[in-house]
Amino acid sequence: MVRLYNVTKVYPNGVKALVDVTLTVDPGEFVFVVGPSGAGKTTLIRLISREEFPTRGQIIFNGKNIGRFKSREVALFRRQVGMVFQDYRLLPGKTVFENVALAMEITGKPWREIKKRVPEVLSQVGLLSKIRCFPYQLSGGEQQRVSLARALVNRPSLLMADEPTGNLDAENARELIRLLLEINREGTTVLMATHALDIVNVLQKRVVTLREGCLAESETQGSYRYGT
Amino acid sequence: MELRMLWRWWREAFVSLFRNGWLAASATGMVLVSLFLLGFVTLLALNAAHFSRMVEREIEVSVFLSKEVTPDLVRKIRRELEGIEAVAQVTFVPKEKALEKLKKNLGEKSRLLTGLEDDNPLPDAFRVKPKQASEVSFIAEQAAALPGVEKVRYGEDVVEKLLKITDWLRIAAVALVVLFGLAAVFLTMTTIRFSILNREEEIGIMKLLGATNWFVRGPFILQGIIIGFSGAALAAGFLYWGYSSLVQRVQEAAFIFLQPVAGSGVLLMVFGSLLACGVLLGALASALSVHRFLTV
Repeated sequence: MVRLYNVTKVYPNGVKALVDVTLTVDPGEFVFVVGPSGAGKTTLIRLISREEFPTRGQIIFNGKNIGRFKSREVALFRRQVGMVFQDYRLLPGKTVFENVALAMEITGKPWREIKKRVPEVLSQVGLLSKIRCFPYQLSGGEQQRVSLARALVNRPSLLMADEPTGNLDAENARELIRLLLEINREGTTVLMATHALDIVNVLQKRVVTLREGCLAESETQGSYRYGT
Repeated sequence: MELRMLWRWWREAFVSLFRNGWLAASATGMVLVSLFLLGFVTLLALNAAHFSRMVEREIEVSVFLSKEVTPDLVRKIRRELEGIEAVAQVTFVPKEKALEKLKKNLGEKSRLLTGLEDDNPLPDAFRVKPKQASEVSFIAEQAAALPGVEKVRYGEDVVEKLLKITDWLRIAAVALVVLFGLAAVFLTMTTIRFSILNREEEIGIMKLLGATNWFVRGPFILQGIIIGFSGAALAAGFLYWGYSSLVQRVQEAAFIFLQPVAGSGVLLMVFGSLLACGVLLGALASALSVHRFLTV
């Protein structure tokens, strides 16, 4: 699904965020990307979503080099990738319904389909009752689930989450992980960058550890042993 | 697909204008004020130009002939005068007519002139209208050189001063319009840009969700057009109301010489340009403001 070949990212200020990372994520996998702050987790995700370009190396998505995409191809590519962020990134001026509908409008889906699909995905994340609310009327956990609904509404083949539980309490974090696992079971590849070692260690999924920008370990049923 | 996008642009533009009502209203107000001032100055400039034209139309060259000219020579001088490139119109004023006019001007005192009919001391003359007021001195020179011409008059001192004033009026008018035009562009652009400033994050999110540039740009440009159009329409409305009541008052006062520009064609053009300015500025300002945020 996603392959990184010898990817290095050096920021203009000289910081080496990623150094020679080669990594393959297969379709249907659930992958944790772990490591201390500043290890390059966010950079990895920003490179795959093509918010940034690698300094060296290539990133291949379904056989295509995403670095070669033109503006329109980037747009089409991003529609296949769901994104969830630590700070939710909902549009404050739009209701829950509109926030989720936006992702479908962007793909040009007809209104009929949008009106049917949005409540569907909102009930999947347990927020159907909040459909007319604005983001500021929701708790953090609820906002994050709206953001997850938005990421799922187009049935993406890949879901990337950058510290999605970073601002959530334990209970909301568990609920979010439960939803991610459910989505993964339905066939979506999930790539999640996180700090939360308790979650990682319990789930026994594949773990990719980054340390100072380098790929330190990649284990299929791994745990988070940073510091040891 | 494309139609759906257009429809979405409109819906999005109106929803956003409605939800940011105060911002939209103040932006419209800014456009209104700046375009009102621009329109006001433009009307002022048009009137200045009109006034200058009216004044200059009065300027002419009087060519007095010597007493001995034969009718043949008069015809020849006429041909010569009409042959000058800068001349618009040549009128012959025989001495009898000149005397009559003088009598009329003197009124009561015209008795002084009785008995002069048989021995008229006034010369025959041509009144020559120039195509351009600034060409009078050239025409006067040419006319003075013709045989049979005794004297040429065009109110040298006054005309020179007058031309200086009308020239200055025209330049000042154009300068004012340019100045206020630039101010209107700057104010409109800044206001609309300001109303988009806090949308940067929103635009970034839409791009990450896979929105094309036009998907993002469209509603903003439409909002700019709506704001620009409403501001301009209000400005044009106020101007029309104010100006037409002013024109009416001046016409009632009947200063024949100082009639303002009131042709509906001219006014339509001024107000049409204001509307076009509003729409264009609104669209351009939005497009430019969004452009900076689209490179995600």
